[in-house]
Amino acid sequence: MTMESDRMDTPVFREFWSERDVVMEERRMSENDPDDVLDEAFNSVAFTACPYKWPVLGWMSDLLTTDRKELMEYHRINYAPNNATAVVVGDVDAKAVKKLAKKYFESIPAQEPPPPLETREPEQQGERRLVIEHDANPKMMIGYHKPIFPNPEAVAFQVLSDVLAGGRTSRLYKTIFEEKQLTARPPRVYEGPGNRYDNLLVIQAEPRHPHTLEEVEQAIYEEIDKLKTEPVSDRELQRIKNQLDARQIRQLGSNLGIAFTLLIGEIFLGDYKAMFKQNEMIKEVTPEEVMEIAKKYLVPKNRTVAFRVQVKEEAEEGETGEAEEFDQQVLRAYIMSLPPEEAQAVVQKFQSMRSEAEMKAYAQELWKQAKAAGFVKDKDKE
Amino acid sequence: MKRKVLIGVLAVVLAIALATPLLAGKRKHPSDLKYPQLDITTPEVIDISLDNGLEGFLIEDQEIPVVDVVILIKTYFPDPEKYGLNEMVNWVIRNGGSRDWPSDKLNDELEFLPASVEIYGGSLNSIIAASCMKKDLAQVLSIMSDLIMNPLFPEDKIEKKRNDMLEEIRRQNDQPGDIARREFMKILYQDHPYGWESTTATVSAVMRDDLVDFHRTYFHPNNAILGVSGDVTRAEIEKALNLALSGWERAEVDIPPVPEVKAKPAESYHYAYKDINQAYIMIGHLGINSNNPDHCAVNIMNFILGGGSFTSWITEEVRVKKGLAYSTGSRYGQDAFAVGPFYAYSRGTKADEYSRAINIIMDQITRMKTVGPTEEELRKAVDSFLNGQVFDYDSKSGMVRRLVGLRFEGRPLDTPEMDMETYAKLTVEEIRRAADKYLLRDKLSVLVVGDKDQFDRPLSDFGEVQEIELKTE
Repeated sequence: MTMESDRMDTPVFREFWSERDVVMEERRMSENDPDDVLDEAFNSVAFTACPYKWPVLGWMSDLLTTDRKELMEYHRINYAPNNATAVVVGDVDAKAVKKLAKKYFESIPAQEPPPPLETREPEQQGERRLVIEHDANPKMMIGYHKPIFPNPEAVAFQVLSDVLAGGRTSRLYKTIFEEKQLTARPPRVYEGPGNRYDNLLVIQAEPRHPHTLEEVEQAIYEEIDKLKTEPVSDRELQRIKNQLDARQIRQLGSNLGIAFTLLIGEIFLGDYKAMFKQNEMIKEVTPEEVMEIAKKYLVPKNRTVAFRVQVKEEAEEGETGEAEEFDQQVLRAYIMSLPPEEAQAVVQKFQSMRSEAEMKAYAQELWKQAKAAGFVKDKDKE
Repeated sequence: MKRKVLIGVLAVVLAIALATPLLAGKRKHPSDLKYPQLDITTPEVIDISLDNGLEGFLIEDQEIPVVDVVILIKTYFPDPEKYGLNEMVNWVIRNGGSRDWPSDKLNDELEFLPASVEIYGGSLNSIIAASCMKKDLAQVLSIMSDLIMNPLFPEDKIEKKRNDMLEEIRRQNDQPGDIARREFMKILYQDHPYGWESTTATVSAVMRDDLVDFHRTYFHPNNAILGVSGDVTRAEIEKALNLALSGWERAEVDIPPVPEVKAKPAESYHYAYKDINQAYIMIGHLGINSNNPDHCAVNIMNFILGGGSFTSWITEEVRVKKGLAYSTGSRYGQDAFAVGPFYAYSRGTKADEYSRAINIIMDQITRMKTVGPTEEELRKAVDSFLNGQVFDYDSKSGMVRRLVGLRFEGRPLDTPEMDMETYAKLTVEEIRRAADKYLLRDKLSVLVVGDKDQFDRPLSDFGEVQEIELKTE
């Protein structure tokens, strides 16, 4: 308490400039981390008004223009006792803790409360799609805007996300990872990027080569559509409720677990007992409610889809080597010679591609097919 | 000369740090606070042994109605051309299901209860970990036992895992930090199994028979160590496990010792290209065995050098003072079977000052060897290190896992407690001697991952550079 109260009361912000350099490197680390790159771009498109569109670290230009004065002012307003919540769990005596808290924290002056956020994210008016090019294998994120607690619909979302991806019996695990084997890791479903304002239901998946982002995306939509037409089974619902109880018991087994349960309840839900209440509310969720929120929120108009595609530096000579010159005219003729549905599928695939490298690779593949089909040779003879 | 300047700067910083609480005036400096001696009471460890020869430990914990069981099975490296086999075995046993519990039924039952049975491990062990509510103990133990004794190894699950591992290999160069860690271990250990990795060829070479053989060779009660914690008594758990594992048969298991590491530390420089705007730096050499009598001195030496986060020299110099990198420090890994790696790291380093980071890290290693810590630095490090140990005792299941690990490594079970006494008595001279002996300043291997076009000067300024071609197969 000596240290924490001192930090709240009289911070000095030593080494400000070198630490700012450090944070700039932290910022660059997220530019070099393919998952962070995708995540940041995704949030910045999914949100237009809500501050969730900004990464926690800010952008490089924010860091370049931050000075010590600005930092101190931010600290004064936000890191004030009237804006803080403390939880103590462990081998302590409550009376002694109160006494110490008074001794160390009571003299720190309250500040005017931080200005409330008045901006609200407006309703999304159509699907948003984005593509990030990076030197890493493909990955995708799909997000749907949704309400947060205490909106009763938020509680049903917890059930919905467990139905989709809560364990090996969940739907995305079974269909996409296990049966269709479209991914090498089970898709993830979570709520993000924060819990203070209306947020997103996010689905993340990485296609397993040679499967494509488009294939995985379609497979995810098939599962989402099922949520809208068929009620969740009683066994699925009961499993989720059983897991909820077990999770709560386990959390009470560790000091940190208890502390987080109380703290999250207090700061996000306005009551330190709220997590327990929320669990009780989740147990009341019905299959119909899950179907209702799926129909209401999990619609194209309300979604943002981000693709990360791999772009490698131009290969140095001899490295790939196989890229063969092909005659565009011949290739076009080959595609047109295919049955109409196939030809259309090829054209659609080209249209869905986001990078030149991807198109070139696919063109090469088609060229090989054309040759294998004897098409190229025949054409030459004519 | 440079060294003296450094110490001068440090003295000034210390003086300022000591002066500030006087300015604040309201509170005592944390180091002036008096605390009662930290008294760690260790819970009772109860030996348990089963009819089939499986032995281990129990720590009772009635706080919540949960029971955790771990069984560690000793294994060994596969043939190098089948590297990846161990990982595949663990996954396929758990996800392929067993005679009475085929995959779908198994998952449905465990998630409905709910309970968990997971299997993981490295080259030298497979660990089966079960966790459940006390009321479900018998059921969960019978599931766990069937997985241990009667796994099905279905072909489709083997192919699924193979394909997933091939995809992981395809993705293994996506994250710069992963590249640095993996390639550096290969540099240090060379052809020793600790430097092996799965490749498309090795993963493709594993056959179903290899998995079946692996299981038949190692999965026996006399080749395993048991650890139990939670709301259960010795009589209850012995009865339950004797019933569940009664069919588990003993067999002679002959596990060869881990080969000695033949690679010798030698100065070398390595570079791997990655299209990023920072440098990831690894600097180090082979370290020591964990039963080395100097291991406590080495631990504290490294704690001061770079292991102790913000109190360590490397973090202070590279990060706090110069702002060159977000994540920097050092690790002196110790290994019970061969030798562990020593390395200092600077992840996400400013590309156009990367050479400064290398020089600073090397200077700190020199400083540790020639000057060493002050008495005050040593006492702070030991206090901080020992006080941190209290968190090793806050979870009973964590304690049981640690005991299982010690037994597996063949070390005395009271090693942590005995070490605490050694730590408390360490002298500056012992630290300096450990640094002198176990930090090889002129035999450091250096690896830099990044884009050399953005570097302030070529790595070849330090010495001859070997370029690593990163593979995705």
